[in-house]
Amino acid sequence: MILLKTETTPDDKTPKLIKESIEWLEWFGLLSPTGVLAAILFVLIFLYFWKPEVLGRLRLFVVGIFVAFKWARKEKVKRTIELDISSDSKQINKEIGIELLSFEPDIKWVGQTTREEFIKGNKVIIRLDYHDDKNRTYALAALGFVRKSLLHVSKRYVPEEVIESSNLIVTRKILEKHNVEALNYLHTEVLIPLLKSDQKIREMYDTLIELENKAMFYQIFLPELFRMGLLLNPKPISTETLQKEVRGLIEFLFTIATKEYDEIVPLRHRSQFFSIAIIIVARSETLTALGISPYVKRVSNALKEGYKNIYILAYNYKRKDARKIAERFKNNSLVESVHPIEGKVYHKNFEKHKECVCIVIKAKNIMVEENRETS
Amino acid sequence: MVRIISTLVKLFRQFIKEEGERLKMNKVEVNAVFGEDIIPFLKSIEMYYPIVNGEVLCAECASQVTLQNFLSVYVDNGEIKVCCDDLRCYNSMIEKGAFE
Repeated sequence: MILLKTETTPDDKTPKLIKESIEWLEWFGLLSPTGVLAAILFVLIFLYFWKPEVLGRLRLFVVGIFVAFKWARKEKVKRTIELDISSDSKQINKEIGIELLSFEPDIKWVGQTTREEFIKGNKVIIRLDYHDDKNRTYALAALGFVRKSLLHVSKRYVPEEVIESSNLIVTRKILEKHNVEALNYLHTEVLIPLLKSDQKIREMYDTLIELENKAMFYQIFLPELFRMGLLLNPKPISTETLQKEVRGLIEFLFTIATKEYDEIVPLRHRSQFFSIAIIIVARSETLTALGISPYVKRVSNALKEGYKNIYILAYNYKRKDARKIAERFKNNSLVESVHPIEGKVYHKNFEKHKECVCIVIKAKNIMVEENRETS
Repeated sequence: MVRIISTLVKLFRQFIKEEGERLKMNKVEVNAVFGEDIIPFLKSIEMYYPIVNGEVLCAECASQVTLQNFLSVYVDNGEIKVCCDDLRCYNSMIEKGAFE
C-alpha cells in the first residue's frame, strides 16, 4: 500500500508527461491491484481474439518453464506441433493468396480405455514423443499434416509423384522456419531414402526444386494446380488427360526456369485446363529506353487473347517496375484480381540470391458471364 | 454517443461472425498417445504383454514390434493391429487416416 501511495503521488521534479500518464492510469483505476488484474485480463482477451498466435507462443513459453513435469512436456509437444504447423500454413496461404494448406492440425490425446471401447472407436492412434524422438515426432507430424492438407481438392487429379514431391518441398519449408534439427531428420531419414528408392519421385522432386529455386513453385505451379482442382471437382476426368495436362504445365515452367539469359523460350501455355502467360521484366535496356510500356502492352495483349492467369516476374530493383505494370491493370474491366507474391531466386552455386516478385493478374471469366447472360 | 455505441455494436457483431468462421476452420484431427503414457495405454487395450513378449508383428512390414519401435495402433476388421516406426509403415498409417 505504501509503495502504491508513493507511486501515485509524484513529486514536483517528475517530468510532466510521466505525471500526466500516472494521472491517467489513476483515473482508469489501473494502479490498484484490481486494475492491474483487469488490464492483464484485457490484454489476454485481446490476444486470444486478435493475435491468437502470440498468446499461443506465450503459453508455450510458460509451459516450457515447467518441462520437469509430465503434463508440461505433453502440452509442449501438442502446442509446438499445432502452433508451428498452423502458423506456417497460414503464412504460406497468406503469401500465395489461396488456401493451399486448407486445414489446421488438432492433436487429441488418447488416454486409457478398454479393449472393447478401443475397437468400437475405430481410430488410428499414433505415438508422439517428447524426449528422444522430438525431432522425428515433429518432422513426421509436419509431413503427415502436409500430406493430408496440401492441395486437398486437387490432389486426386494430380499424378502421385508430383503430389509426393510437392509434399516434401512444402514440409521442408515448414520445418526450415522453426526446427532445423527436424529438417535434418527429414533429409536424412525420409528424403534421401525415398529419392534413392523411387526414381519417378526423384526426377519429379529435382524438377520441382528447380521451379522452387526460380520462384515458380509457390508462385505459379501450386496455385495453378489449386485452381485446376476447383475447376474440375467433382467432374470425372480420364487419368491420361490429367497426366498429360500436369506434365505439360511442368515442362512449360521447367523450360523457363532453366533457360539461359538470352535464350528465347515460349512464355505462353494454353491447354485444356491451363491458360497462362508469363511476362519477365528482365531487360534493363528495354526499361531504360522504353519504360514499362512494352510490358503493359504484353499484359494487355495476353488479356485480350483470353489468357486466364498472367504472371509478371521481376527481380531485384525491377520489382518496382513490375508493381507499376500491375498497378495499371487494377481497375481494368478484364481483370478480376491482382496479387503480388514475394520470393527468392537462387543462383546455381547458391552463393547469392535475388529478391523476386511474381504478380498474378487473374482475368475475369468473360466467356462464362456472356454465356450466362445469353442463356 | 448513440452513433458510437451502434458502430461499436456493429463492429462487435462483425467480429463475432468472423471469429465464428475462423473457429469453424477445418481441422486435421490427430489422435495420439503421449510417449510416456504408452505403457498404461497399451495395458488398457490388452496389447502390452503381447508386445513385451515379442508376439506382435507390424501389420505393414511384418517386423517384430517392441515398445521402442511402436508407432501406431488401429482397428482393422474388429481386430487390433500394431505398426512399427518404419517410414513406409508411417505412410500407410497416414493413408489409413492417422490425420483425419
